[in-house]
Amino acid sequence: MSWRRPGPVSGLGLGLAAGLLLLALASIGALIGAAGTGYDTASHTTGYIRHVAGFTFFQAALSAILALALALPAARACWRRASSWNTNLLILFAFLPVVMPTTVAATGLIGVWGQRGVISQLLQSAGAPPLPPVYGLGAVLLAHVFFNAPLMLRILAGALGGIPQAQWRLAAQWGLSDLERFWKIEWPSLRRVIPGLLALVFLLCFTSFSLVLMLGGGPAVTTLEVSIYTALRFDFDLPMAGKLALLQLMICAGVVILLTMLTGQSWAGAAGRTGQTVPQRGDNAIATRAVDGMILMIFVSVTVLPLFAILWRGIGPQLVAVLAWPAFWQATLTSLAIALLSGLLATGIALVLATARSRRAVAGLAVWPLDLAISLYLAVSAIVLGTGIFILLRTVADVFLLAPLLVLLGNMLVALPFAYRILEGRLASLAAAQDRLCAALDIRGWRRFRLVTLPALAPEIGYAAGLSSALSLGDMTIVALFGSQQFQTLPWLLYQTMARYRAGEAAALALWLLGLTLLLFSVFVLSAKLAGRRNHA
Amino acid sequence: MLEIRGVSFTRPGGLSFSYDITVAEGEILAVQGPSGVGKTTLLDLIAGFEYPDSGSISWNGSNFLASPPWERPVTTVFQSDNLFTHLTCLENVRIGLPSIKRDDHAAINAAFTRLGIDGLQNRLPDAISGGQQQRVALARALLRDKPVLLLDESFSALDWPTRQGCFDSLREITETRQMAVLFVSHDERDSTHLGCKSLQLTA
Repeated sequence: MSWRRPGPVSGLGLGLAAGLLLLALASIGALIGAAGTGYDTASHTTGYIRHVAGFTFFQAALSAILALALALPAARACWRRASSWNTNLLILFAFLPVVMPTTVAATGLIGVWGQRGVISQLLQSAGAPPLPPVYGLGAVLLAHVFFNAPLMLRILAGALGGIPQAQWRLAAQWGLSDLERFWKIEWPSLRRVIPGLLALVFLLCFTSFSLVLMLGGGPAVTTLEVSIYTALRFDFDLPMAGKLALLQLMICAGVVILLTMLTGQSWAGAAGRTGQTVPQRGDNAIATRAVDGMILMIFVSVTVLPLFAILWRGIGPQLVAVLAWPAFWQATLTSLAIALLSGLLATGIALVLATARSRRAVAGLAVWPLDLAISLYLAVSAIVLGTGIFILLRTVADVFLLAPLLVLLGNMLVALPFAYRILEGRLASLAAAQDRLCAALDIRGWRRFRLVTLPALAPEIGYAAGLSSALSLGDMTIVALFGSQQFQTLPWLLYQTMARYRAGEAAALALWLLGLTLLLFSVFVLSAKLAGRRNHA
Repeated sequence: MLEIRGVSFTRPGGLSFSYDITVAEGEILAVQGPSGVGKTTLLDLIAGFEYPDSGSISWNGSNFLASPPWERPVTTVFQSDNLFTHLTCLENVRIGLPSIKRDDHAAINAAFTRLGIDGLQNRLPDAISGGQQQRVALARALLRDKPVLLLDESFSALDWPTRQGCFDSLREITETRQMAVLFVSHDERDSTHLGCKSLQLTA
């Protein structure tokens, strides 16, 4: 006999989880079916798949290592200089890539590192030759580092901030050197997050699509995701698309299992600084300051300069020209509608699933069906899911006619694991803190959800909805599969503009898209915070 | 009368406790003893957060062991986390009251005044001290009008003069309303000041 009861939300959550599992399994089944038809053991096919898989693995591993190599010293430098306003600003800026559309980032990177970018112009004004074109493996790695080093910086700075202040004080009192401090104080905390962080960034780079498509520069630099897209949209080689998608799925599933083993449930939320720095021996030495300054300057040049390049190149007559395009306004409206709907849907479904998980956990019931449904969508990347749906539906409907619905569904499903993790962690801590009090005060069921849970969860709901909408607004993966001249979103329009070498208009579009993304994200986050602050019993 | 008869309880680790206690209406019982002897467990059993292996717990002869926490004739002030941080103090009190009493502003304000926290009604819990938070929780508990009040080291965060003031109010309310109060405390001065019986639990 227990007073902790799961309530009706448990059944609703299980029903939703079953639906999600069914959809994922149907997509995987379609891929298996397609891969089995016209089975081709020709050595050139096997060789091609092996080459693509090998390159995908190589670039993802290298990206993860390079991002860590940049983020770790930067996190330490930030932590050492935590009281200075510019490092705090840097940590704030480090959040931007989390919501930034990949197409915008690619435009920004070209704006800095391209043949006609900021660096080239500076070199030319100094009489040096410009940089070579920014395409190929180097550009892909640069883009992945741009996206993932800030994520790593935030989590590593969070790990350093989690070290008890007493340990920093002891280190200061004992006069530990920088190296001793790293091994004795910082490493025990960092090593708990680094393996999971590497696995997460590897997964993100392994499933990278738009950046490789835009910056890869040709078939030599292609990943499984891009190859699936090519097989499906250009060659209409369904067996090949199916094989590649299954391979991608298997590798991703392996990484997700590894990630769960390394980090448990906590991979989405651990970020931010909590503790306070204690001045250490040598912190103010000229050499240390110079090294920290250099590290932070490199970090800024890789991660922050592209943002300024977008601003600098996006504002101007080209922005006015873009505003006059009918396709621009149509794409803006389409993108906004899909982003809003998919963001709200993802958050709503995640809320039901996370609430069901929390209620089942306190009642001592199994939560694995809910976790499995969510983890599956982390392993099934957008392109794999889209390919599965494409193959599944193509015999019964015109997939291009259903494009808006499919993009909405795909974007919602891709955002779901992130929204779920954000809400699930907070709901678990709320349950631990409020279960007994609510039971003692007879605050139960819908009344508890409306008066207690919802207001306390409002910031997380806003964050989840903002992040889901931002991810959807910036998505170019699903729309690449289903998009057409009749159905365009802003990222797709931006990609096509870049492909026509109209750099000025592309920069203006990138600025518009970035502005919209930040606006949408901020509206969700701020309105949820306000709603949570004032709620009357 | 609150009667705890032949109640035994075993924790998952194998640690066992047994209780035989009665508390009359209008009586305060201070439960004392070192850490780990089962003081909070006793309150959890009465409140319904734990279920005994055997025995009965009744109010005026009616065994309420089968009832969930919200249906028991009991109200509790926990050691901490008594307030919802997103609600003001007034909202924290109102949310715990039966609907018929939620708009009785005169009674609510009187409780705030009696416990020396008048003027904090519209403040958020994070903006007041730990002692004030506990008094808001106590105000709510008293307004809930349940015949059994459980206090789990609820006043440990208060300085001694404030604690004395709360005890005086508690004693008066207990007598007026004929409540049965169980009060877990580490400080022997508490039972001396309240002039109540004390139950010394031992390992």
